[in-house]
Amino acid sequence: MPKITISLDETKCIRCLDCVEVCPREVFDFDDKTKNVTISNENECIFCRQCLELCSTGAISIDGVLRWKPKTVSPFARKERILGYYPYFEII
Amino acid sequence: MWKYGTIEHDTDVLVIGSGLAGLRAAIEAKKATCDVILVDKSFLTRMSNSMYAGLVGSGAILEGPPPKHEYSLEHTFEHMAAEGVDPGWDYPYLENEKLMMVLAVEMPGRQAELRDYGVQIPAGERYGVTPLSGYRILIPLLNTAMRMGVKAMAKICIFDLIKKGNRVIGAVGFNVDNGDFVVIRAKSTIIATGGYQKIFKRTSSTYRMTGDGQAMAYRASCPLWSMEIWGVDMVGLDEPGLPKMWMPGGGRLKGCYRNAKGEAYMTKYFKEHNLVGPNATLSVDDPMPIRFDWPGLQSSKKYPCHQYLVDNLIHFWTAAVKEVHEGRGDRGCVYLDLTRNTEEDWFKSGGGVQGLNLLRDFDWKNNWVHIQPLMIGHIGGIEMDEEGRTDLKGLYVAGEAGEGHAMHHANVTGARAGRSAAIDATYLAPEPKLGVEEQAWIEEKKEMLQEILDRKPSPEGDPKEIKRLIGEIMWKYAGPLKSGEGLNKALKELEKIRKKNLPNLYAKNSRRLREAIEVINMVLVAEAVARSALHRTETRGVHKRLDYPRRDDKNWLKNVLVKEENGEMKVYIKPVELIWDRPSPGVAKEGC
Repeated sequence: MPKITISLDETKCIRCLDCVEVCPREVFDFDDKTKNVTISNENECIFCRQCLELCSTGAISIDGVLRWKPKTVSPFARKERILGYYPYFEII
Repeated sequence: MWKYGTIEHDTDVLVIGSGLAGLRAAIEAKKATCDVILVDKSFLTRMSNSMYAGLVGSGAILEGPPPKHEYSLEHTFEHMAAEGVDPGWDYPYLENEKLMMVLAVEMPGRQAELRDYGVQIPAGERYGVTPLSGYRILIPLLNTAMRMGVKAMAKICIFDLIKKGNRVIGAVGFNVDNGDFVVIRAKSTIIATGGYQKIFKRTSSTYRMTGDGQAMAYRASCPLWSMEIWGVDMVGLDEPGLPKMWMPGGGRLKGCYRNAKGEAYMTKYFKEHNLVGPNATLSVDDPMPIRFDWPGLQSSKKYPCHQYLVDNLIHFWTAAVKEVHEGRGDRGCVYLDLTRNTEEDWFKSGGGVQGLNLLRDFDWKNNWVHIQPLMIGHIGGIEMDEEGRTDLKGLYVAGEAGEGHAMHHANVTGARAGRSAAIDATYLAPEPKLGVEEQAWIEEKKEMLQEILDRKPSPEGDPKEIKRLIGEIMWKYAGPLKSGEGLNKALKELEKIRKKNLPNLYAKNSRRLREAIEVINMVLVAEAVARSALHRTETRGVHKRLDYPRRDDKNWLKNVLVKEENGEMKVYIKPVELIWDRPSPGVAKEGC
């Protein structure tokens, strides 16, 4: 079974808080004292990948998620591959 | 004194909320050459239910009408009247039938229109194959709206409507990022803020679904309609370390529901309720779609389940809550037994892979997963007619904020509300000028916000904590199984929150201020839900009362509405306008 890990690189994080804003399950939290984004609720992650999409510095990474990928790479398939729609899977 | 700045906007049509309904409304109004402002309290489209549609409303836009209603318009409509807009829901004969008729007629056409707006495949990934299933619909729509010249503003939290007499002339809010107070004057206003799922602890919706639209409309003295009609899906994971999320269908392929004793209780339930069709099978060794008529596979050629075993998903969660209620559950849950799934089974569909992701490192080969019902959506909302009009002039409703749910509903009502709002703004509405009274009212609102910002932090006033508290209370006392006693308790607890916690509500900055506003809205909506549920003294479909276990068509072919009168919540009833099919009076269907 996939062992899923979500990690956040504090050195890359610019505290734009976009991930806190966009996560539908409140996985991220902003700590007012340390001024850091923390992963407070990792269990609730449903792998929608919106945080990955919005994070401009690539500070967030989610590893071990099974996802779909297209069979052939065509210009039209690109977006689908990122979001994962076609019935071929791989482990990232 | 308001310490941030104030910004004013002027527009023809203001659309609050940027899900499918909001975007459709904005585009439609812009097409009618109106100035349109589209605001959202978070990122545009990103926090809407339609973005996660596959996971939220099983009626994600389908290619054509839902598979069950594939015959004719009459057939479609008949089913809608008897069961509700979506298969799997059950609130017979309570729906606004005119609205339903419009839906049945317009659904395919409105869906085809999406192609004109750049949506390549106007069908969400059905039944939660992946999260973000609305992506391919919403992002092209947003792009189209922007290209057409809709003025879109993200992170503007609108919290009240400006009223002048009986007309809504705009709304007030604040910028979540920099705290600027925002006044938007509009000739007509469309509320498309989505649902109130978050008042319950267990939900698959995004956490911004706090019923802001309903609360705003209520405060502007608009009636809220049938707030007690909300539904759950039973396959919500409840295992420590796993997300409390809906398990997609693909993963349940060979699964079996079991109670704490290990019995496959659905078999018994089906037999008891005489729900077994001629071609159906009840052997637990058969794949779930064949046994249980799983709607995602209804029309699939792969699975020859022509005869539906159960025609309504409500039976699954009814059976589950019954098991738990009768003491055959484990800490409030029943089990989903997936031990007979093989590794390959999971990879047969997208839902399977997503299900495997959700299960993470849970040992499903040897253990049963705890599952518990999970709120997925609601029918109730702001009272509206089929054109999206409300009680107030200049105020329109679209999508889940109004009556009904599901994405095809958002698509149709969004378009219709946008059109009627545009007509209003072009021909009927006067210039939205703020008088002395309105200015004073706005100052009052500013002071209210400032008060929240000035308060000192205290444990009672923590918005996150209060949100959690509301969720717990509502799920415990006004959850899937209701009783008069429980609902009264819920009301009492909510009253306690209103008296003890709300006066201490604090926010450190504008970002937290949004949470505080959400809490205020949630308390109000939760009360409306509990009061309506208390008033409906029968069991009807998704509304299950333990103290009134029978459906009562004689007395309760009525909608329950709540309205503000002199600062109090008044409950009143309105008979349902049955224009299509009349149920034979006194037909009693036993609830659970």
